[in-house]
Amino acid sequence: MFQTAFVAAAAAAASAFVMLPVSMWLSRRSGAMGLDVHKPNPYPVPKLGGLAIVAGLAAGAVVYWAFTSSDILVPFIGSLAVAALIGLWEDFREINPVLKPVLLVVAGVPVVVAGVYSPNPVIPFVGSTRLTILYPLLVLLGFSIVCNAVNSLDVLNGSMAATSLTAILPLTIIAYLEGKTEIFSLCIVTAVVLLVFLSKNIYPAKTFAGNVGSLSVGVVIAYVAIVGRMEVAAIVALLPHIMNEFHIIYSLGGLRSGKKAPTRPTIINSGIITANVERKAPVTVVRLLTAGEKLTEPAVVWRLFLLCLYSAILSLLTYFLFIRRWLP
Amino acid sequence: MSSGFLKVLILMTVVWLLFLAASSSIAYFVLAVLDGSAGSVAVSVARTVVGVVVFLVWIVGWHRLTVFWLYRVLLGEKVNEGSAGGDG
Repeated sequence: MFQTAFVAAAAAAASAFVMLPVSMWLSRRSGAMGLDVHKPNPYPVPKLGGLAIVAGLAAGAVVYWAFTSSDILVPFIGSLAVAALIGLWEDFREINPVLKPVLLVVAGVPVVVAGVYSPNPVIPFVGSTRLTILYPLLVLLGFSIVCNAVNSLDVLNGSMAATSLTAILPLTIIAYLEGKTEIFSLCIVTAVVLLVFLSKNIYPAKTFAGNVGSLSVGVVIAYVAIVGRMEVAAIVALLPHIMNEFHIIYSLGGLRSGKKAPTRPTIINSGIITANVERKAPVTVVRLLTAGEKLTEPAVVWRLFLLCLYSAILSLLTYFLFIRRWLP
Repeated sequence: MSSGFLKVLILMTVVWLLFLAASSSIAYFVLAVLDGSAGSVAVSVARTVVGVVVFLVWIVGWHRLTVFWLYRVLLGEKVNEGSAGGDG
């Protein structure tokens, strides 16, 4: 179990490490640069660093597949490719905010077509359920929600990678305890790739993940949750991400671009971030964390990380208290 | 760690409990309809309506709770003092 997982993780880390400078070069070359607006003097940063995440995840999955011929890794590559292409598209040209979640539904299609899921999710207090017809629709919806939720927390240097690492943590532990070898390996590969990416994305960021990176990470988490039968544990682990996305949509009155919000959720002054107190500002997790406080960007990311770590603990608690006894 | 952050952790705990309560309630009402063991059509319709109502109450309640938490619990004292504008 461990040997193959660690070989795949090593291949993933090496690929991500090699692809990081390449993706930064490609960003500069293609003009895909994003302004780091939280700095005292905002400057352009390469925003296709997520290509290194995609390369790392793909390399890890392919190496694992080469050793095991596991059936569940082929649809994973399909889902990853779909999300990466949608992300790349948005990194060059903004996608309509209504069209984007619809497109991300397609990322779930390889899972549904390959049938690598069990339509029997375990729900707390209710137990194992049978959703033969409804479950494939929930799979498609789940991919779109998770990808958008992870994408919505990619707002500060290191925030997406750090918070996704904490979301992967309880899923890795559950996969290990349940003896789900492929899912455990995918989690380890993802964790290693995110750590390599963080080396260039942590404050002050040398590169951003871009939509290509955040949507790809969203795909892995959705895939692990669905194929590994950890739906409820994953939802709890992703509560800060889902909260963020949900309150933005609710505050804006539907699927609209955050850039069209009447006012920003936070105020930035000389690198110090504080919550906007105007009622018109959208509710976000960063706004909650900076309410009544003046914090530097790394301090906000640290609090985001701790909040997600707390969610990871709640996720494990949910698994041990309400889910484990119902699993076969 | 600041009291503001601890208050956000308390909000997260409440959101978690609400999620567990809402998801299990909705599943309790709707699953019987989905697997055809609800009995008569009237009971199936009633269960579905209750499931949808629980879902809507949960969604609206979740947002209202967070807004309350943001303005009253996290910003409340600061707004009253007129110093939460945060101009750095």
